Amino acid sequence: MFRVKLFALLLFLTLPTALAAPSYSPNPWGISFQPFVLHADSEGALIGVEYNYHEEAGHFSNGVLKPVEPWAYFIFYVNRTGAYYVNFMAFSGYEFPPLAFYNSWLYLFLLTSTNTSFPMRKPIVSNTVTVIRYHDGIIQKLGEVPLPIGDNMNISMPYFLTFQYPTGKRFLYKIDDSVNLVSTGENLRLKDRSFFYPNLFKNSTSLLLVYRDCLIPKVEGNYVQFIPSHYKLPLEELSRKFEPINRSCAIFFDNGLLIIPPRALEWALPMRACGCREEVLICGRPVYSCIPQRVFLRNP
Amino acid sequence: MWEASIFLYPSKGVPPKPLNVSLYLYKDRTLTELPLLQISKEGVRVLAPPVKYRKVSSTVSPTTVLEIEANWGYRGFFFELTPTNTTIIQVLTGNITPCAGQCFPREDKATFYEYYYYVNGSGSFLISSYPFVSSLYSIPEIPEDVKKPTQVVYGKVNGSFLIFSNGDRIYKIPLSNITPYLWDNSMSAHMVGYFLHGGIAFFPEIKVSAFELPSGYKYVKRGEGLVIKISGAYSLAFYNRSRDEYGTPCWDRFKTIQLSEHDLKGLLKKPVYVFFYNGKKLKVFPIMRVRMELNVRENHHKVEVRTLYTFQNIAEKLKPGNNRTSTPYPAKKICGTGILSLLPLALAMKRK
Repeated sequence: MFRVKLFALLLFLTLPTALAAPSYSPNPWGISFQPFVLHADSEGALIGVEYNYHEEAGHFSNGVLKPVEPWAYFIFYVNRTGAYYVNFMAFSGYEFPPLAFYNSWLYLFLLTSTNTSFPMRKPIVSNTVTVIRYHDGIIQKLGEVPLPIGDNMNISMPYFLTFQYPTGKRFLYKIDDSVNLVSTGENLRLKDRSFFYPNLFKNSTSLLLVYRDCLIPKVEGNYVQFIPSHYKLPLEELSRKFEPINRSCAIFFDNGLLIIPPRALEWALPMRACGCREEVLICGRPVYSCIPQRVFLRNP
Repeated sequence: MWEASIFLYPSKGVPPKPLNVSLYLYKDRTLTELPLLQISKEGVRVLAPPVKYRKVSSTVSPTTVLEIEANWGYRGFFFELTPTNTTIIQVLTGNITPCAGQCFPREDKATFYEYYYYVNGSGSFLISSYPFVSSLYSIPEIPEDVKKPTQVVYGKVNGSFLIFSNGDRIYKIPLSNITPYLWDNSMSAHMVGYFLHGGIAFFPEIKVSAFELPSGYKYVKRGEGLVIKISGAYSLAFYNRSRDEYGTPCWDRFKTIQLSEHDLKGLLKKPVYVFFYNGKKLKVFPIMRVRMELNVRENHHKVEVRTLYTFQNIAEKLKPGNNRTSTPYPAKKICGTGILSLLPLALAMKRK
């Protein structure tokens, strides 16, 4: 009886301190990352890192965290001198940053937010369109225009239209070394609306987009060979950097390889009062080699 | 969106360490880490420095006005030299095309072409050639002494000699005489031959395949003209004939090299050779050449660039009579070859 009383007392004493420790979230949360190649040419590569915020799914989730706010990206630019941060693409409902090829430039319409500050806990909702373009190692920022929450966007180069469906004010912009507002109205329409992605995926074998043309790792003895290339990397050195090796991917880059690690970069924070849950297991659908299984359902 | 969940399991209660998301650059045998993000209790922090945008001005805009579609990468060619159970050499050629989605470049069956050659002391002769698909139906009449059943003899490399032996006859050929005619010295270990009257006809029983690695191209527009420079690399693989665990013949890769486009062009100047050795003198006969050309198509405002690979037979066509111009074969009548005697040959040549 005394033991039970002591236990109850101990529990009573420790509970408030344990509850006070996690000041930011009452539930466990986790973040997962998936780097991918957005575009690459002989001078540089645009890399996206998909950022998913996970939270416990309901009371009976049994410690399973599910992504709650998907489709947010960090965009980076890699060239011979190193990796650079381009922007953060906030939550917008687009599965990929909308992009368009026009006059040999690659135009990226990044749905960014003016409120971005670091360190960032949860992906924020976009409120701005930042237009940048890229070609052979030249990256330029053309301008920023507001995109109210819930608004949508259509592109038909060199124009793009922001609109609220089905009614609302529409803004037509022209891209010509800068982004200029052409007109506003309620009945504006783009005649030849371009559907961003299928155009890109259909005809371009030379473009490296989202893991297309990626070199697949093959472990042979103490070496990892990215096939079809003849670069042999020591297995030990690589496995110290990331795991599992066979889910990574590489592209030819600057007389060498640019290796993109697998999606196994998951990180979860224990927020339970006991503070005893932090072991992370990689799960979900197995990702073969390094292709994220994606379906393009959303017609922008 | 792919399904993804994180599973949490109770364990020792150690808070997770800050984690870095990085890319890795492998160049000159060194692995460099390019850190992008750091994740910690506080959230996500960007580690990479901000990009410096180039100033927008009309002068830095690209020189190309035309839209260029360079279908470069994973395109290539292959050829196989195989002995048959007669004195005929079968050569299969084809093109390699990139396939849609993410997979290996594949051999395009629509481009398969078969060539049948005959070699003797006086030269190499093309018996016939046709698309692979229709091979069963289009074998022409073959002179009887050519399609005489023969046992294949495999060459053995011993020191600096290549040795063919069937018990009765032994031919010892210095390797230094053969290697200048091969694409790679390692091919000499896979020689196969037919004993003929007065010598041995032999060739490497190999498969060679080459395809472009998608390493890049550059183009420059100058005035009205368009200059296209492909700074590409090639993967060149050599295969020898072997058998899998069920005994089915298959090709086994024994060597792969990476070549620059310049090196490959140099290699393609060398045709595919077959050999004849009469015990004293080695005779070398070219049979086939691989040609590589850049095909540029311009229509409206679009330019399409792609490399084409074609095969060209350079051996003489076998005419009735010229297979025994200088061989000690007795003259035989060519006529009277029935369908029945052709059928086993056709079946033997038919690939699985």
